[in-house]
Amino acid sequence: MSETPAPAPEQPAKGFRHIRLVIALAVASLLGTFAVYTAFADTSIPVLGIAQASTGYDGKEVRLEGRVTKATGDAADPQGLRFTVRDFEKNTTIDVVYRGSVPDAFRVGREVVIDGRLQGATLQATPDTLVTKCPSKYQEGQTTTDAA
Amino acid sequence: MALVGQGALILAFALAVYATGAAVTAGTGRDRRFLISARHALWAILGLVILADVIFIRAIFAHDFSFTTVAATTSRALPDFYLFTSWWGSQAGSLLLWTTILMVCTIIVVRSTRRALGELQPWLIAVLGAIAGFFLLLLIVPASPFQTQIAPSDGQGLNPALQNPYMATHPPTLYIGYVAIAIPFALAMAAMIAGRGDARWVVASRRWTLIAWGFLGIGMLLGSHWAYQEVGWGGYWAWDPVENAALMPWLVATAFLHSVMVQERKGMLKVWNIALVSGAFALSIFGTFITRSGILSSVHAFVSTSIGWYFMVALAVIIAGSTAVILWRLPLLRADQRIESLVSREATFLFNNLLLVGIAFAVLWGVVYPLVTEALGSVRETVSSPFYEFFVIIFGLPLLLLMGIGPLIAWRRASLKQLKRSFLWPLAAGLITGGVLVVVGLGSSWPGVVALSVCAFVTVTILSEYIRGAAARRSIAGEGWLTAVWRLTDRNRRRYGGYIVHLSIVVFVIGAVGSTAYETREVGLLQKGDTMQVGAYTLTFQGVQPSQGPNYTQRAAVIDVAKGGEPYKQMLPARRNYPREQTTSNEVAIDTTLTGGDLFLILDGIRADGAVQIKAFYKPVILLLWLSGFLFTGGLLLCVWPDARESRRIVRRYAEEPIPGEAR
Amino acid sequence: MIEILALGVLAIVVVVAVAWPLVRPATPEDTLDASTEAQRRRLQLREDRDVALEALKELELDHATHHVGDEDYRELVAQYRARAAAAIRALDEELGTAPAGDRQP
Repeated sequence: MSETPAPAPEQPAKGFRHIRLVIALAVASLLGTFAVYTAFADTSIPVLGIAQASTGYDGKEVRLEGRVTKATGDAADPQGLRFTVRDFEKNTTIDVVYRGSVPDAFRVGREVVIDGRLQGATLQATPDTLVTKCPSKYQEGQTTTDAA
Repeated sequence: MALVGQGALILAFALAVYATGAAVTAGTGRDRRFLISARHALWAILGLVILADVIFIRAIFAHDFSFTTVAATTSRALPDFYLFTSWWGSQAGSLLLWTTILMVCTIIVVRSTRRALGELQPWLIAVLGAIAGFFLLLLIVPASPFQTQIAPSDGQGLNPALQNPYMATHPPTLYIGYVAIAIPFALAMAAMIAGRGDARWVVASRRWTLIAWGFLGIGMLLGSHWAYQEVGWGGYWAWDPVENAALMPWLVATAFLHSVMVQERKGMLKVWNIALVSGAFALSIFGTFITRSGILSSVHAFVSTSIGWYFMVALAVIIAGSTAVILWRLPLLRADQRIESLVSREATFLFNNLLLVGIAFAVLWGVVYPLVTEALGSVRETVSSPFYEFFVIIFGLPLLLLMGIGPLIAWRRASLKQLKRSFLWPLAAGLITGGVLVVVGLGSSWPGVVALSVCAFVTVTILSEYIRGAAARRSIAGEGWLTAVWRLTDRNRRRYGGYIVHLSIVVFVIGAVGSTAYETREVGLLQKGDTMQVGAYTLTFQGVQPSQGPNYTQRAAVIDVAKGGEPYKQMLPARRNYPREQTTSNEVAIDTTLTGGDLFLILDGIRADGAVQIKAFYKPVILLLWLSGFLFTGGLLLCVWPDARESRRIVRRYAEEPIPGEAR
Repeated sequence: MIEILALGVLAIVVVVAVAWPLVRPATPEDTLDASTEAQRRRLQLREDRDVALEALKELELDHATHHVGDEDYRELVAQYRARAAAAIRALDEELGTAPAGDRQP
């Protein structure tokens, strides 16, 4: 250290003057992207019970939660798997037409979550969005889904 | 025995409360006796928790169905391997494992920092004791592994979706990650409460952060691979709340790993770092809350609604507490220096942090959106993949770019002339890659093309770093190339280990982009002898093959696969029936080709007439996704590996100043 | 019954292990020292010194790998050395004024 030329003392205030401005701009643009996207891109869908969905959502895309009361057909057929979901508390039902992969746990009596578009009293399901929950005696157990 | 187990946990909880109180007394009253007593209490808690583990596991293997949890998740027919993994297959059991890991980590950090951070010990024990107490409370009240009932003749068995070798690795790996992030948080809080503004806690927490971050990353990758194979759908990431629960703390921890480097070099971002480490821990607890409370619909959910309240209170305490501590010690956390130039590595780390936190925030928003919309009185709304993918692309691509720019820029200030030279080859590689992709016809997905071009840019940057570093060594020390690379890496482990981790991210991105943007998907209904085409592969259905397993019966579709006309191999996608658990499962057939792509077959259904519904995918280069994990682990090991030279330096620095602690 | 007995024994053992350090009265040696203001200052100076020295080492690597040009290199070397020197000088001053028992021999 003895042979260093007269060392210039460090000015503590030295620094990129505009760094705070740059950071503020960066944060603002991140938040701005966020705000613009959430405001204009229509990416969220309502999650509804069957009773809620039966009025006011015709033609809209929704996610339904309910219990399967009957099911016929095959999801692989052109006509699809046709099943009925009932509200957890009330007696309202909606019919669902579904094509795509059927989760392993699916059967009458199970709770399901399904996405689709409501047309009258029928939900035209989006393929591969069927999620089934398997209840157990002591606590609700694992859910299984088939979504590609 | 259940009574002993429950009693042990209650005793452990009491000890945790005591340890916290004794440690606080030691800290405020400066009484070593209370500190020693608190340490004894920690050891006792560890012993009691291990006792609880032993009792619980013994009950599992003895098929003691008087334990409610054992009856709910095992059966007599369950193979031994899955009997063991059922330890964490339930809410209560997994919390027990969590607490065990927490106590082991606690003991390790308390012992290892005794001398170096003696002054912090009381507060360290207090914070960790409080965290342990919280989890023990969960184990006593809402989620007891020792709840009893009249034993049924057989248990309900383990959900077939969980009967997969990954059940042995994915949850414990994640738990280690989630738990270990508590240690840097505790060290930070202890340093602040003790009024120490120096970087000692940062140095001590570095390995813990790396380990937590590494285990979270590997845990997520293991889960991805499992989801890819097991659940019957061709997807390794679904933006499911539980998946996001691990991603968020991981992203924040990534930011923290970078920003501490700025603190170490320039004494800046001290407040930001404490906030980040607190945020990572809070997100870890929040993630656990999401996973276990059942408040959000998920593929993975354990469901038990009362436990959610406990987590919400804990989260509030953590956020309020860490904020209070930061505000209290704000004077200690003044920056020593400033950023001097936008073209400096500090600046790139700053932007890297903003982007990482930005992605984490976007993911968080997506996760809580249903809760927020519901709380605001209107209908619950949810977002899905497109939302998350947008932000990952918009924030992730610049982040990827920074990964390539950062290494080219020196600390403090980069010389623009040098920069232009350094940029040349990587930029060329990126542009050429982009051009080639478009020309070859793969320009259909612009994010894909951009991502792959940036990957080329980053790869060439990293390679050039190694080459330049080795060349510098050679010109000084005259070593051979291999020796030079080895010594270079050995002496600058964090830097060059970090480059390997970056390379693993690049490999991951290539695999992810290739397998999603350029995937082929076909669905077919096949009678015996029928064929279907997937990309270059021809699939011929030869019939159904029945077979038997230890607790299931199986029906497989025999598919002869030909590639370009030549016979390739036979694949057996199947469906299994588990009589005891009263459920079926889908066993997919995956063939990984030499080029790293996957031929992925799902047997969607077997019709009465013997026809099968087959869903087939070809996913190019998806192997890279999984291989990136090995590269990631390698780079991480390099960064984490004890460095004798560095340790000596650190020990010397802090030993020069006889900072008090206790010699014992 | 035996379970309750086992728990009781466990509880007693644990309480003894935990209370044992508290049984004896406090001695002056039991006082946990906190770092003094002077010690913290010196620790900060040592960190400043080491950070500057490590920055020098990193600068060498950056210069050898052509991330930093010759001009910038000379300027930064001078700065880092100055910083290290300042920290060492300040440290020496501090140690010069510190009471004898505080210093490492």
